[in-house]
Amino acid sequence: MGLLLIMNSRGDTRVAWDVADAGSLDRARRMVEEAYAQGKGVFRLDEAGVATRLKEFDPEAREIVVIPRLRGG
Amino acid sequence: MGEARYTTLIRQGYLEFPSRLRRGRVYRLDSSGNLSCRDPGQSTSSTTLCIQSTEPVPRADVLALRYLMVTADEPGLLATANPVRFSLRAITIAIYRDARERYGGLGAFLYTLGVLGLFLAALAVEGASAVGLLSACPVVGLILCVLAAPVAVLGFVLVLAGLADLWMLVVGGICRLWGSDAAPLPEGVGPLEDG
Repeated sequence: MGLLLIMNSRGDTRVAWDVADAGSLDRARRMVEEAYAQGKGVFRLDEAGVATRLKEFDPEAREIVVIPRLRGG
Repeated sequence: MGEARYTTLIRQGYLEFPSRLRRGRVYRLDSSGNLSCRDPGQSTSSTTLCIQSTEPVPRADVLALRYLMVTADEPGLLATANPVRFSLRAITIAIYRDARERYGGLGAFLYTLGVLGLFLAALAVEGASAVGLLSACPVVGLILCVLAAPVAVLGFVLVLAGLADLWMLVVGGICRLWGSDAAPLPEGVGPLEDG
């Protein structure tokens, strides 16, 4: 079971997926692809909190975090 | 960020991460979400790296996204964050990046050149009128001095910022030559990987 967290103004949107459930898997994949299309950052987190930037959806990930597009301040 | 690292952040108020790209650089992320860095030759993290979300997010998420960038996407961090310090290079980068969003690459380059050129030219006019014209033609010299003064002050600030850059270049270079390699990564900080 994986968890997708998408940061937004409400805190974050959480979507769970299961590799055995094609519907939830497809939904999570589409949300991540939409994030890429919007220029957002996608990161995989392991149990220790170590992050890795992803270039595509990883269905085996434990947790995926999507951050908004960034700019220099 | 993991339980252990979060406990450290709360207890000591900050986390530090050695850079994988810049030898001797150490990033500091404090519990308020402020991100800064310290290069060789600097005793404190005097350079703030200003990177922010293009849409509003809760304050805690600002800390989280800066943590993700510094630990998992340092190239992206360096390409996006504006270094905030008294430095001609930092000022130039900030002007260019701000203009790039509106005018594109070439437009931003010309805009940056124009802005910096204007301030430095005003300083040159101020200097020339003060040294040359005030004695030869006092009225014209005085008028030029007064008109150019506000902009020339900014030009003077740019020159000082350039000297600060030069100083850091020299001191940083000496420290890199005499210092050791960058500290090894602490446990739990993963390698940069392509997903």
